[in-house]
Amino acid sequence: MECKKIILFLFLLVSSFLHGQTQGLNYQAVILNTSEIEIPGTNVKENQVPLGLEDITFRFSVSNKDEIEYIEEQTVTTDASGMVSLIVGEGTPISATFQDIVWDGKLKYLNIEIDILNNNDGFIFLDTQKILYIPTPIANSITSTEQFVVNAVDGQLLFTTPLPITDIRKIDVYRNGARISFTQINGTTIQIDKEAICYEGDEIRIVQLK
Amino acid sequence: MKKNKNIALLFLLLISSLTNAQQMYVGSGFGTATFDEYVNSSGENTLDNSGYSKPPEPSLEVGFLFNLFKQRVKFDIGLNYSKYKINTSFYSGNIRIPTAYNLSYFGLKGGLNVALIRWKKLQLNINPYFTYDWLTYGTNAYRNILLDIYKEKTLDRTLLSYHIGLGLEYIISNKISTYLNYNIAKSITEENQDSSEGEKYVLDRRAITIGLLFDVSEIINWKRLWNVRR
Repeated sequence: MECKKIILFLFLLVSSFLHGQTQGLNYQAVILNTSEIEIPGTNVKENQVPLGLEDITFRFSVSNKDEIEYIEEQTVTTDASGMVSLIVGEGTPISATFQDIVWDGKLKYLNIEIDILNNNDGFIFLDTQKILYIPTPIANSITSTEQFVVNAVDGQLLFTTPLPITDIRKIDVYRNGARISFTQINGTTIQIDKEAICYEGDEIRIVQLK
Repeated sequence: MKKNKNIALLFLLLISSLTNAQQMYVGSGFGTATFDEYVNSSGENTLDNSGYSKPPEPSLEVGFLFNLFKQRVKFDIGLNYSKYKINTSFYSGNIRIPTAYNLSYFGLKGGLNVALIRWKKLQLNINPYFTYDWLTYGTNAYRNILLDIYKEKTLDRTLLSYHIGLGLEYIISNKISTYLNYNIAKSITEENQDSSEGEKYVLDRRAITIGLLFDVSEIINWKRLWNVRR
């Protein structure tokens, strides 16, 4: 089990700025097992099976081109599919606080390191991503919205909006905190992108400006 | 060259068996198998068999019995062909990933057939023997990945196994009997001969076989045939 490395299969980064929520960046990833597993007659190659139900500490660093502005750590357990879903900003701050980050519209980077606790290997570098969204200035200005949260069923595509649709641009749809695209079906119904496959229990949040 | 030698050996065995055997048997049945006592090259057991079904797969056998002692102890030599489907799993993190093997073996067997109890036309036999098995087909599948472990030569091509069987034999006539056998086999643990050094496992097999026993000496009178020729 030692020397287990992981790779990031899916990286999804969106801003989470809904009224009343903690500010942060939603982060989802599927952690795959890249250490070879010997079984009779063959070795299961790396990146072919998820690393399920493992405790992993993530260390997120938000930096600009000059310096690191914020560091935090969070420990989560991957689900049976190796997936983790967490919000950067809700972890234990190591340096500064998430609110201290200056969202000045300039490019920032999110650096991710992980520590698979069973391996005792310490933190290893995982990935660096550009942060493409500027969350907080908008967050504080949104006061007049209606939102509707529903737990989706497997394969669900159609959802009812909280208000009649007057302007499709006034609607944002999030699945488990990640923004997804959609199309209007009628005055009160939208259809989410078919590639955004819904599973049982997924949280679909429809935010609609009045 | 080696293949030709094997064929020649089998042919010689068949000829000598036909000319000396007292009984010939043909049977078919179903067998299951599991990988037991698995240890990989790091000394870890990465397999977990618990909770998985053991689907029965067909098997065939043919062989000859030679009387050694008062028709109670017979020498058993034969061939068998068996298919196995092994469902098991391995760990990735703390979850089990199901995996399935499809294997076929062709085997050469040799051992004893001992009559424990005789009662009228019924006979209870114990059947200890060894087989030397050649892998003739092998695949391994997990998630959406299918591997041909026969062509890749990553699973041991040969196995030496010891078997113990318990059987009932019913004498239909003085020429034909029928039998029902339950057989337990374990391959002898040896370090893997494939690419994974230090890897060890025991192939545990169970089989039920039903078949017919023919009295060859009654059906084919070899002495008479020999005399006619002369």
